[in-house]
Amino acid sequence: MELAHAKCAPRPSKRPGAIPRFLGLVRSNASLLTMAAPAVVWVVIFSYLPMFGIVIAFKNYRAADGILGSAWVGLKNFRFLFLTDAIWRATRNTVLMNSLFIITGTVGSIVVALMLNEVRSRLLSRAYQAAMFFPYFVSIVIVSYFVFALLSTDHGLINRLLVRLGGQKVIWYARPMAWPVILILVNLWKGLGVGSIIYLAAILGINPEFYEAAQIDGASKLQQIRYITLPHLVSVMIIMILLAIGGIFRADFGLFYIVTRNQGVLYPTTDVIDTYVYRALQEIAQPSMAAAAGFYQTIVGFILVLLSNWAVKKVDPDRSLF
Amino acid sequence: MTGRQGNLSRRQFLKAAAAVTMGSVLTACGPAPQPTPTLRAPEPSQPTATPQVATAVPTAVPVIALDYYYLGSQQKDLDVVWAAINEQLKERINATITPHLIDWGEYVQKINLINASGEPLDIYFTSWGWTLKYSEEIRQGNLWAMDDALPVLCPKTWASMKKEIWDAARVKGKIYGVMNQQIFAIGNGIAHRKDLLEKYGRKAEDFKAYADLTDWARELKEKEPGLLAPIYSEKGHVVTSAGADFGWDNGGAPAGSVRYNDPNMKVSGYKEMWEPGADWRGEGHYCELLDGWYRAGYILPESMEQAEARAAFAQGKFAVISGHPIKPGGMAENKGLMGGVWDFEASKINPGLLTTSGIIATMSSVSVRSKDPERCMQYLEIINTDKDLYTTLCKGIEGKHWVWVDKARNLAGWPSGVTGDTSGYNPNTDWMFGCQFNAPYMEEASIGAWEETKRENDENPASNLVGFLFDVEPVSAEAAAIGAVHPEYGDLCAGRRSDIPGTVAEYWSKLDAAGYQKVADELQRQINAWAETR
Repeated sequence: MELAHAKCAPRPSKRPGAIPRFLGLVRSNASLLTMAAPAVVWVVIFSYLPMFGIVIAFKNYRAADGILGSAWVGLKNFRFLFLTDAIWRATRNTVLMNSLFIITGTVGSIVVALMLNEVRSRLLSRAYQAAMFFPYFVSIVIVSYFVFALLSTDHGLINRLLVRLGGQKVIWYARPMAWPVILILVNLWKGLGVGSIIYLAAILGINPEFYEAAQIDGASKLQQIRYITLPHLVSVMIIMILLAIGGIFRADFGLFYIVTRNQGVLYPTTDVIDTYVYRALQEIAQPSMAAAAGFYQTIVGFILVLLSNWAVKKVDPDRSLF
Repeated sequence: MTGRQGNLSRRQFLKAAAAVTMGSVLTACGPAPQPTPTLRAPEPSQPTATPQVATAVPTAVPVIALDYYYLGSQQKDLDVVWAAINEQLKERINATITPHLIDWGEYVQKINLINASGEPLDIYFTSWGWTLKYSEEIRQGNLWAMDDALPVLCPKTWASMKKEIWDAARVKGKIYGVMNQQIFAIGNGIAHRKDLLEKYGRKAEDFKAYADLTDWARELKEKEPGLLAPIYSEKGHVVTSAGADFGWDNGGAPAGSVRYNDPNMKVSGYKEMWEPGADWRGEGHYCELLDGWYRAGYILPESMEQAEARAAFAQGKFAVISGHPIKPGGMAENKGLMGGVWDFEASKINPGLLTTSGIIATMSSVSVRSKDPERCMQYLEIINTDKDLYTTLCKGIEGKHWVWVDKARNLAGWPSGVTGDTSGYNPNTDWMFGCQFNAPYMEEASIGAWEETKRENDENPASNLVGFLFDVEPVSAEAAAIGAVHPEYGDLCAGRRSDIPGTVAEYWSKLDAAGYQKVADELQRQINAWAETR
């Protein structure tokens, strides 16, 4: 007896090939891809293509020979970095200060975002945001003059205040220990406005039903923040921190060279890898040695990003960057 | 996202997004932005269309535009002046100059970029080290060796300086730049504001040593409350590469120095440079002095960059510069540098020592990628010998930017209603372009300066190392490491440390760790090798 199902069962539709499927994906995400296109082009041209230049770190680069024609010297260009102990002090300062910047920046940005979220009047909220945004665009050279006006020994505001209150003048530019604090404050002043925008955007995205439910249950403001807002921010925080860790070996040159007015006395706490390399190569001006220093910074940053991403994956696979 | 749907339809949105993308890609692909201070002279017309007939140069040779890069502050009438010069050049050597005036701070980066990217470059300014480094350019293979061309194409310039002077520019036997003749043996001293000197009844000649300043600084501090500090001490008076002030010549090396009159040319280290020398005071003595000034409040607690200090001087915030280069006619130049407000008087403390770095302080070099190196040499010969053309380049157009006050005495001045600041063309950098002795004097007080300068160049004590230039290649890593140590202790002598002997010991141990002795040994080896070939 023939089984009826052989003729009655519907034939399975043929699965479309790989290329039509890909085009289908592109079409359904067309708007997102178009928005991302300028950034992708930018990153390819300025971050991926120049990667081939990494070989300069291993060559004795001479402009007359070009990149490919210059002689290969292996690790010779790295010698100047590791000849003395100065690089370890610079590395320690770089990593320490950047870590402090990341921690204070994250905490500060979240606090500011939370506060901005509480402002009732939209007009006032916009005004505060604009005011906080402004320092980001002020040139670091101008900022160094602000700091000088405050901290100058004879004529600075802080010292004059101290003297008025009966104290002694402090020579700020000769006190290495004061500068981690000063630089953190300057960095916060400059970066809080922009940093808080991202967290504010994330907070605005939280479903208001959570808050309504919490209010019904009688939760206080602080409890609402602790149990609703912060957990929603964790993903954003992790992304921001992981990205910042990638740059932990690169310091903000303007901050550590210009704001400190390049005072040698302060180097124990303010000499970072970038300023050290700058000083070392002022006399020699060898592009390959500068490339070697850059290689050192970025390779270590790359390894750190991989490590921290792996660590995050171990704890919570959904939250890792990749 | 919990936002509402926009009013645009999907197609409209896509079109808008595509437009934005194309727009941003196109702006990126647009013409490269012109570097800001660059000005292009009007393109010279083809010789067949030019009605005028060049005298000595055959019209069949096309007119070339040579790219000339140099530094300075922006000048309003730059293109006007160069147009006038190019008219002459077109007739005489069938070439014009396209000037590129780069700002002081950007020059080194700009030239490095141009060499790396292969942009056209013909003539450019080099120096021993205070800006674009001559030895580095040679090491990178960027300069054209000109010693064969010099006697042929620049006969007068070649004859104007002694063989020993030309040898100072030799690296591995070849010359790569034409020195712009000016003061070679420059000594440091004190520059006082003339009005304050007169107010307190003092004379510049009374100051024979830096220590003599202490008394006057005290008086100024008491009686002139408007000053930030009486003395501005130019940064960097520590045991760094330069020690010419105290009779040391380092031959261009970052470590080690030779006593200028030592016939054996033995290399000494930082310790010997610290102790007072037999005839000139040592680094240590000056350091103690600066420390005392700092504690008494005669110098600022924070160091100040040169540009800031000049602006402060113009406002009348300082009275005296200590450790300033003193050259004949220099005080008139100083007035211009410090804002043109005050007159200065000089006290010479240390006689100028003639060293290699002093000789090659300001040079014009030809790029190895030049379109026509011979034509560049012809230009250099003209600018170093033709007084009228050189004066036009240095001072501007006669009648518009400067006028003759007394041609017989070689004295010029500003036209009525014009000052150094308001003039449309006043670069005040005669030493950038050619032989400084070919320009007129701008101040009555400077008359005779050129003869005086020549005399000093010839008669001042000359270091035995003139003609030697250190090749840093074998010890580049150590040189970089040492270079990183010096700025940390550059303010040592300005007294910003509480414990000087302790800090000095720390400084020296860091120099040791960076390989100071290795570089000093290499310097001795190279000096000995060079001495054999003489």
